[in-house]
Amino acid sequence: MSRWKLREVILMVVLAIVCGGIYRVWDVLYALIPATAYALQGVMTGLWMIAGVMVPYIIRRPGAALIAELVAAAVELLLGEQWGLSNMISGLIQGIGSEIAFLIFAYRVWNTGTCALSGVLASAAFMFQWYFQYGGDKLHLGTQIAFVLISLVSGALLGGLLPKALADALARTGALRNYEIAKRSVTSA
Amino acid sequence: MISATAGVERAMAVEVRGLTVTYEEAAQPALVDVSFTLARGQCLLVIGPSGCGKSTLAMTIAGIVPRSVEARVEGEVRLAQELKAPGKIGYVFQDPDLQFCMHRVDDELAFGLENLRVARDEMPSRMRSALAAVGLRVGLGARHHAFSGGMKQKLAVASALAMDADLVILDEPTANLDPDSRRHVYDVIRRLKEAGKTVLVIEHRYEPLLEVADEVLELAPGGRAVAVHRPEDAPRRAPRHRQRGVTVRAQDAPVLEAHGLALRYGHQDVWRDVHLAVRPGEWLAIVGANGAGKSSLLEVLAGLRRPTAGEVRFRGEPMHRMSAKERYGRIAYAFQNPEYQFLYERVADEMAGRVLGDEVPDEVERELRAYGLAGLGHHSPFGISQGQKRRLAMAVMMRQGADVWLVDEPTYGQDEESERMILDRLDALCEAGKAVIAVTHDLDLVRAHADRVMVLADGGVLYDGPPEALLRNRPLLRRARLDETAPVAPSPAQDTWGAPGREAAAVEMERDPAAMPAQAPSSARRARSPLMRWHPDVKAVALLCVAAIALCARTFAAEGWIWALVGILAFALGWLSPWKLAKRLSPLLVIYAVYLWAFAANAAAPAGTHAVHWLWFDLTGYGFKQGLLVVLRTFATVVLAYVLVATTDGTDFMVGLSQSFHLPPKLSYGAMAGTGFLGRFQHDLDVFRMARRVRGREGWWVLRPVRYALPLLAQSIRVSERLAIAMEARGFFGPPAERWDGRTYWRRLRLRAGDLIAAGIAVAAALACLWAP
Repeated sequence: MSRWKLREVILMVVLAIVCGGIYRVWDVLYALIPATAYALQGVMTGLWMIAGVMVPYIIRRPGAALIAELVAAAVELLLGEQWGLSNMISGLIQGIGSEIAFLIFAYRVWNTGTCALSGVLASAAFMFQWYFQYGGDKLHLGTQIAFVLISLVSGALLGGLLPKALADALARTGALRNYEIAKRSVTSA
Repeated sequence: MISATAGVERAMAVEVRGLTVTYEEAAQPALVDVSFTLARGQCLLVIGPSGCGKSTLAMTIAGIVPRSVEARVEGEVRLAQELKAPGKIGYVFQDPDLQFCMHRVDDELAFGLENLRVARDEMPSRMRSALAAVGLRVGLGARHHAFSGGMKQKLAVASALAMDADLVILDEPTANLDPDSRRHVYDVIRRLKEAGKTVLVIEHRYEPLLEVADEVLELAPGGRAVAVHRPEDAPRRAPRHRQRGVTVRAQDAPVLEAHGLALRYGHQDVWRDVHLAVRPGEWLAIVGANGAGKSSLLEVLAGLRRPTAGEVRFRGEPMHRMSAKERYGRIAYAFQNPEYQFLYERVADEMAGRVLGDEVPDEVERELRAYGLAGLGHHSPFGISQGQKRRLAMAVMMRQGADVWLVDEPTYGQDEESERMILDRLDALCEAGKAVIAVTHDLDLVRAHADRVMVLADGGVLYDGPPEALLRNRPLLRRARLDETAPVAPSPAQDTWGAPGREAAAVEMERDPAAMPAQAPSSARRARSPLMRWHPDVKAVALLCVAAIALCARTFAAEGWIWALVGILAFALGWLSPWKLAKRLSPLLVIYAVYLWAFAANAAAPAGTHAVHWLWFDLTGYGFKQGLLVVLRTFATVVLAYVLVATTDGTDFMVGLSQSFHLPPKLSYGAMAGTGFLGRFQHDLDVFRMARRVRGREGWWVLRPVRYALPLLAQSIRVSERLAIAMEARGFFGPPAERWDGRTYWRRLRLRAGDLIAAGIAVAAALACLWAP
């Protein structure tokens, strides 16, 4: 980790703070939807994974997904989210999920596929917490299956493709000229 | 002063020979074949238009280029022997907010000393004498985010002096400051020279510095040195002249009026009793020191912020009764950061207000040319220069044909050419019968363009009338803290720990009335609870483990024991106030009540369970019980989070990661620097939301967080780059950044056996709860 450049460390923290802020907005929206609307809850799940894809996709370093998701969760906590330290545990396991996707490809492949996989694995990791802690195990089997499937799809779309699209849009603005994302990818004008 | 060059031969401090610097991926070099010498103890002023390589030159001398900013450097920079050691060249950046990486004054000053491996015992005396040298009267425990811009710049100079810098480089140190803060910076430059330091200062509005400077180096566009002048021969900027005649007629009805406006934040009056009326063709300037509430007033006038009292009327109609669409069709608002107003990915699309194809239509190209944006059609609006962004935002607003123009700092971040174009356009608007209200720090602009000027100070309107009378009224200017020539009060040599100085009362409190300088560090005075004395990082891990274990509780008995443990941690060991805790966490109870309901209605109850049918829900006692278990274990972690946050100092937490757990300081201190952004974030978000409202594209509420992301992210990247450069400029590279033992530490965090034993006990107790009867 000492190979990280200082500006990459700071960028990671700053982006994680922005993501933490977005998570907090999402927390409020989540509290507003009916608690019995499990399908809608599943649809929302993926957005809480964006830091774990956006940051590693930009700086491309081992560990970036895990740390970014943890920092984003800590920021969300400091902004007053409603789950307390359970949220830090979410950040930890989702970060691990995101990280595994990039690890499998030895941190060499950074494309739509790995980003989507990262979102799916983060979402899948959260499913354990949902099942054991948040009482998923007490629901009807049909509800459980529907919730898990919808969450995984949401993980791929909101948690994987959306942050990749954001990072690509950011790279197109020229703001990321000094980071790996701009150095490695062949941008078409 | 002038005789310095003619008299005794002075020892050379810096000698630059044939210096050419080319940034990576840039077609043209930023600096071409520049040569000059700077003698020891002299003050060199560097001038020239924006983008002519002034900063590049300064950063190359300081070694920031190419160490932190990659570039190809040809020619040579020869430094005197004593300047070659780390810390001997201090660097003060333009944006006072983007050069600090800690939160407290002592930590900030210590950061540079730690990089130099100065022993801890030596630090307090060096900190105190550095603060005294710049005349900054604040306690070492004060939090600098509440300082005014001028105080921040003084602190930045003090950080360099604490490191024993012999050459101090100031890169446009007053560009973001109000007149009052500017005079503090001029004062500090004078002090530096008197103390025998060598000074290199880059400045755009440099006239006040000609008294201090020994020589003036002028650079031209393209990065070539034009000449070295004596201060008295330096080219003076052409004074702005009034070009517009009187375009306002007294008999016209006002287009925008405000009566009895007042604004409060919490218990703090920002201003009150503000009355104003603006007629067609009139240019009203609003001036005042930082924190006087100028921007807030402009926001209230635009209907973006609700006043606490009073009313704004547009052509006689109350503003709050107009729809947003009507309002922002008639009122244009230019924010300081034009990026927030952009909606498209390309300049041409932005100009046309829709997504164009590859071909840019002729009329759009013509418009681009009229605003000096020719050929930029395919660029990203985020990737062009600051001046170009401002002009683009301006051009986009021109299309909407508004009657009233509200402009926040029209000349902020602009070079002279861009400034002139914008001011000319605003003049033309007045001639066309529109009204302009501009917030500004620039009294020159007020003189040359405004018909009327309003001074905000001391919580109200101090003056409202013609500009000439105000500019002649020195006492009034001084009272409003607008006089940049007023002398700075000499500072007493003694500095007391923790006592906020007189200047601290002048801190900006507009956004955050609670942000007063902090008291002495708690460690020095108050008794600390056992949880506060626990090593912060060990505590965080231990509490996280307790939370994880709590989540495994499946029975009421186990949860009862867990709650007992949480209670002991919070009250017996953390000494928290139950009342405060209840007050803080009670809003969450509503959310948890809803969860409970959801389980009562949806849990998969075993067959034959009794259900109460109500409306379309089937509520079961079984579901309620299961829901209660979920709520109890999750809420226990909420209390634990509160305990952790309330008993932990964030800086101790970060520093401890390196000091006790040997994490590379780059990670812990880098993260620390990033967190400074957290405070700004809320403010940025507010302004950004307003900017979107003005453009009428706030977006569907569900998509809002997504739409907000891009401009905010672009902004965060710039923030991180500058922070990183500023930290490296203070010696944070090589061993002090790479290895935990490559630096000394001001904060002492000892990892004792007791810390680990306490963690073991907490985790064991939590585990025992799971199996307790």
